[in-house]
Amino acid sequence: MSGLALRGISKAYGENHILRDVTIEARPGEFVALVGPSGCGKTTLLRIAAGLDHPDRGNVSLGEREITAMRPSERDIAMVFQSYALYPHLTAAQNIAVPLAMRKLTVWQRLPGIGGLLPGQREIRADIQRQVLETACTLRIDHLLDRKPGQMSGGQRQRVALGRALVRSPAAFLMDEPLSNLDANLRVHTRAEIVELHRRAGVTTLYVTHDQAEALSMADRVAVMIGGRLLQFDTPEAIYSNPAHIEVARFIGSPQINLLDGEVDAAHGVRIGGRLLADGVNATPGTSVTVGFRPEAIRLSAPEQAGLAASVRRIEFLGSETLVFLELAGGGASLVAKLAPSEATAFAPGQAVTVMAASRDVLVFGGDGARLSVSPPMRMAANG
Amino acid sequence: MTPQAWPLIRALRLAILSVGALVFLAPYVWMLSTAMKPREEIFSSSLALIPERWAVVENFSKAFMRVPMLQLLMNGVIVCTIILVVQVLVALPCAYALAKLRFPGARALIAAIMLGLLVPIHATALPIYVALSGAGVLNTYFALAAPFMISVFAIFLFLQFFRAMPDDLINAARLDGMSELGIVLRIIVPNAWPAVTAFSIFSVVAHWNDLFWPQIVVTETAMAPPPLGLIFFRAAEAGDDYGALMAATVVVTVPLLAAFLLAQRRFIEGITLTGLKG
Repeated sequence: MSGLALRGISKAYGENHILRDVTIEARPGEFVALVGPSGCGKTTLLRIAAGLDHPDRGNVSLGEREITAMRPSERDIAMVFQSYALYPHLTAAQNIAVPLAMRKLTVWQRLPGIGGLLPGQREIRADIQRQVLETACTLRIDHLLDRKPGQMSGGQRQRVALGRALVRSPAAFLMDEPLSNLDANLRVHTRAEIVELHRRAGVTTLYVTHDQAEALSMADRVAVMIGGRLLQFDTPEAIYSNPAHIEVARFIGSPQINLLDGEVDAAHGVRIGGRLLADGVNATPGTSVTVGFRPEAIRLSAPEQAGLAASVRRIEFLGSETLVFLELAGGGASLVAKLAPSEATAFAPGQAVTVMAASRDVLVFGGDGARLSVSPPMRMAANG
Repeated sequence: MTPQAWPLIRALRLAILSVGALVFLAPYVWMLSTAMKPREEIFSSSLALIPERWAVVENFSKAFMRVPMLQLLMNGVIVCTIILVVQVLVALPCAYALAKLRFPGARALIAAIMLGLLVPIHATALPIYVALSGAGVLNTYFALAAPFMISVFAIFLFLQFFRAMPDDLINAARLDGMSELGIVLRIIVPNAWPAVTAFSIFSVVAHWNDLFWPQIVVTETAMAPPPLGLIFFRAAEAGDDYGALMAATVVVTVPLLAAFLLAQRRFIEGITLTGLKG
């Protein structure tokens, strides 16, 4: 098992900087998700890892091997493409067998006709058939082996594409949004299956997605990329509850984090609507900052309590939870709170409420978007 | 428009199309008719399609005895095969490189191909003739095939076709361990059959029927492709025996017609079966 490291990768097409000094080191056997909005460079990074693109600067290594200059076929890396990229003229079995045939058979043995007469190839072909069947059984597509891609559904093609990548036990797996062409039900199902496959094979995996929920639920560590930069690379829990940058906070989590603009006062506190939201902010007084708190961090209570005055605009019932959309009094800024459905029954559109959030849940970001440290952490923010 | 108006419009449309078809088919029908008429009826002043006395056996046997028909047909098959095989062998990798590989000069090469499409054989015929004559290869299959072996049209056609093929398919093949030549042979060619078949129809029809170039480089019946052979036949033997000449023409046309119908079926199969959208 070997880790996959991309160090100091930069890539530009003319003036268009796709990647700026990105470093991601996946430990052996780790499942790393690259997540970001479209155009953030995550797919380019994956293609560089595969050898389909070449970085302007930086290097790629797989285990102890430096592979930056190697051709894709020499890297021992398998990739699953968003479009699946199955060979349309070959059956599922032949598709899965291609990477094995290319590696195990010599040029002469692969020749149709003549190849069948050469010594030794019969055993190798039988071995390939066995491995194809094994892989197909793992993915439960053994009944599809004789079909061509045109005769399969999206989910089935996707499995064949996974099979083609799995079958040769590569040193690393790359996946480029493999679930994005599947319908919602199948996506959740296949998500679990990929995680299970990874757990069993234990192969280092780089997984590109634009779906933050996919990244958080599947990966051991998540790399958030925005605008060609790596903003944070950490565990899903840390990415969610402890974002290093305002863009990370904004991109991760659904519904989006609540963000309010404010200013650091002389006592290093941040007040919005006269209420102290954060205290002990590590910034010079007068700095413009943005205060953020997750929808589930909000506590709603009757008006005239200590906190931010707001009114309920809209309530969305989602089954396991209820979203309450709020408008702050005076400022017009909107917030969203995620409540348990039982709590939400107390509120109705148009109602005046008070918004509170525990100070440990309040995140403060500086003008450049970087996270600012806050101390002391345990004081109630909404009691000023 | 009332529903009753439809049959009228349709009938009118059908009539116009039928007239068009008749105009285009008339020479062929006349050819068939003449091939079956005895000599005196061909030159009679009446315009009759159906001969009063059938002379099918007479005309066709004359055509086969006086003209080395099999030799002519064989020449046509050999020349067309050489041309087609080399054209496809050159054009497939060339079009793949231009469509899917990035290398300096690719744009200039594509521009050169466009230019090549604009230059007709008639413009370059003389220098090529001089070169072939200088090399002493006039009256050979090589002289007949050489100027057409690299077809810019084929490269252009395949280029358009390959551009529509997904890049990821080729990237997947690279990751699976294929060389660029392997990709052409194992991925591109099996999926390019519709384009190859379409081009084959163009190429074979053009070169089977070609009279211009064979007339320049061939002076012997032994090397003549069918149309040139017929010209020789008319000049030397037939004189005014149009029945035999038309019979020979029918024989020359039939293989092409058969090949076309065959290829057309394969062509449609090719499109529906490969499922390139997959």
